[in-house]
Amino acid sequence: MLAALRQHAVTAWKSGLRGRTFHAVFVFALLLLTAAWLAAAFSARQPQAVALDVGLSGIRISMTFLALIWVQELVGREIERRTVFLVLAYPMPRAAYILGRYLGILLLAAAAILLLGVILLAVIQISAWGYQYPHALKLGWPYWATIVGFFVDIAVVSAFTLAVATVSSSAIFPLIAGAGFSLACRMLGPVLDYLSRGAEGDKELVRHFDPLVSTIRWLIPDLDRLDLRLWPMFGTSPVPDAFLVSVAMASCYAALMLLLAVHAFNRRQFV
Amino acid sequence: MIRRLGSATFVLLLALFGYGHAVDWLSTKERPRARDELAIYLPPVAQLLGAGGDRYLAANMDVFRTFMAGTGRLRPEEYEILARLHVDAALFNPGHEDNYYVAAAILPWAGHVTEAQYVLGRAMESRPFDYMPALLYAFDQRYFQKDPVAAAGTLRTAAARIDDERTRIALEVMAANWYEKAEGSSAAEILRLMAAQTNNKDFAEHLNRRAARLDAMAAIEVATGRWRLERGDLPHSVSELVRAGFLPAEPVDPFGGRWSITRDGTVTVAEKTN
Repeated sequence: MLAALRQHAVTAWKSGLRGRTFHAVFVFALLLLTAAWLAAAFSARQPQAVALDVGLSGIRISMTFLALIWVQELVGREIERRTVFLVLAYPMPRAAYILGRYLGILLLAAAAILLLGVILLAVIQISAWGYQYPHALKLGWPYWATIVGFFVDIAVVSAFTLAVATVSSSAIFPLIAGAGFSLACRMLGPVLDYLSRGAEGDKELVRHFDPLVSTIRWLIPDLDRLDLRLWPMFGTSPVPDAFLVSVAMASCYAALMLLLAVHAFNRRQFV
Repeated sequence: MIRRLGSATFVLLLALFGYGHAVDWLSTKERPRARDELAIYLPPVAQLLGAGGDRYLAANMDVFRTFMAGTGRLRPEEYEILARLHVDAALFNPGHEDNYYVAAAILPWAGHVTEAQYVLGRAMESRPFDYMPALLYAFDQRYFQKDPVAAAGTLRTAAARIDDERTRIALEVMAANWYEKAEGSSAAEILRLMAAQTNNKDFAEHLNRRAARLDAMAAIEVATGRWRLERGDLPHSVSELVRAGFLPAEPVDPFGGRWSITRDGTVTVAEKTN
């Protein structure tokens, strides 16, 4: 099982790196980091913090696209084109295929986010635009902890998209579902925050949406909790317990999605 | 083949020439600016959707939008939307430095003191190392909310966040003056301090003009006080103060407004109408 898992992970890694869409999205990520540098010029008092803020958003968005595309190309398309038959013909458990591909995608995501993280650090260095920032950004551990938080976020989105891919007959549907899922999970936290603060005095809105959002919070994970960027930007360190529990929540959710994916893939009839 | 290549080259050169010429022509044409840049307000949930669920990106988009409004005079309904954008940005990212700074520079002067104080209050909470939000909050309490005692308390909070001893003591002294309800030009000084801390030339100029207006108002108030002391009544206009020698010349309002003195001796300024 382990050997099969490793083999699928290595295949996913190699195919992922070769994919043309991956190259296009990576160029898009680099363009977003250039946009972060330009956005810094608009700032009245904090060019480097704006570069960091917009750059982190750029990394999060492009990493989401990358993860979705990898799942689509490495699993969704293989199912759609029936090339998965060739893989399933080998005497190895189907679970090894799903988990191996997921592991490969995680390795690709880790390498991409590490590279983008280093590039963003360089972008921040050249984004002062001739203005001395009143306080230093925390670009050591706080910065890398934020990147790790994003990686966990991407791992959850990938697991969900993978689960959808195992039941879908179209390669594009997991892409759309994954994008919608990431959007909903990231919005959940700010929406809960907004409602808890009274929605700017709109009692009707709170009355209507509070029960609904309170139910949704049990169905999808609050990925906003994994965004620690206040730490590198303003030195507001996260509450350790809350962060660790958030990582545990995200990991459990990803594990549930993988279980679902394996279960669905095992039962799937390829005709 | 050669003929085909020749045609392709001709089309390429023609396209390049056309493109270059069009870009050159357009670069001299002023871009039409919509008057209603701030006419549309999306609720926070829709803003989040637009930012891909990323609350920090939504905050940045709000702040960039407020920058686009500039420092020119807006209509009341535009100020209303501007205030909501600042409040939303503070909701998404309470520590956003440009947000609290620009909100403090624009909103209270347009009558949106509550919103400005909300933004500054959130920034004070999330930026414990930064004295500016507390300083600006105190300024609004003192100048707009007419509460010198509360303002002095907040000013002392700001002072406690400053490492530089000289600046800290200067703020402590200012707080002491506010406790005594002393009048003075400290309001203008805070605006000049804000102007010195930005690399945005438009904002710096706007703040310096605000400070100059406060200086001029302070001069008229002093002259009015002297008139009342000497004559027992109040002047009807600033020109009367000049004619009687209480003011060397009528101060010029940097925003082009017109001075007036109310029946209780308060100096006000009527904004220039477009």
